Amino acid sequence: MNWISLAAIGLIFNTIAIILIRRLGKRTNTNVMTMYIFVFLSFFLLAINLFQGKSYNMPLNLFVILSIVGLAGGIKFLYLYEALSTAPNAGYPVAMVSFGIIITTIISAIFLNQSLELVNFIGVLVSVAGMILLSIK
Amino acid sequence: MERWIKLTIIATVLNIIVMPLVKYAYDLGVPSSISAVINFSFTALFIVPYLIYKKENLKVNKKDLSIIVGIALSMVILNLSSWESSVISPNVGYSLVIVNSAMVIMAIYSKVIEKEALPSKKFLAILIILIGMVMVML
Repeated sequence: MNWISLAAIGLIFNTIAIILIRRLGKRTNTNVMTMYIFVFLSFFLLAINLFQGKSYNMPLNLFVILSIVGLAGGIKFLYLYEALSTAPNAGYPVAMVSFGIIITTIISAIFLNQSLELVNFIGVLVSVAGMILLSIK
Repeated sequence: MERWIKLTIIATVLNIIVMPLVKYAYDLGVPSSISAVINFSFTALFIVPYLIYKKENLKVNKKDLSIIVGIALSMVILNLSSWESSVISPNVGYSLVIVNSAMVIMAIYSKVIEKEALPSKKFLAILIILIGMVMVML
């Protein structure tokens, strides 16, 4: 399967997940829903990794870093799923979170010396303008 | 500022902190699927004491549980397909843009199917963010 088909599958299931989270979040406790989603998600991924015979061996410091990432992820998803359930339109929080990729690109350019050409920089400015427009009433 | 905006900004900031750490682990040889299991397990583990502290009722009915399983399965497929796509695509950004164009689909879906508000100014803002993202990922 080529990369475009795989990305399209990702897009479809991203949309399905957001729709289901939005619908369920409107009538149940989003915190409880988030906890169960990640319990099942961990279980499914663990099963896939076991099936593929992947090793969990890693240095302790990496394990600690990844567990801290998990903590940050917990807070992130609690807030994000509540925002998804309460925003006037589900597209708004999805757009705002996607903006994080752009900020990461800027940080990478500054701290990791990755290239940021003029067209990329203009893209950052365009996205910032979109974010401001989305945030104001 | 509306509450959902504050919540989303916090989530975005945390996302920005998390992404380089996952990349760091990957650069040191930990496959993303292994990172994901550890991340998501700890995500679930850390939420439990919070729910106990807030004295939330953890019971869910069968119908909601089946939807939750559906969400988790969708996220598994999303993770696997988008990761594989980003690995084999000529530029990782191309794949990211396609997967994240869900924001436009969601906005239109919410307006058309769920009959939710979508003022033209807000829809324009979403399109501008997507265009900016395409330019950044070029």
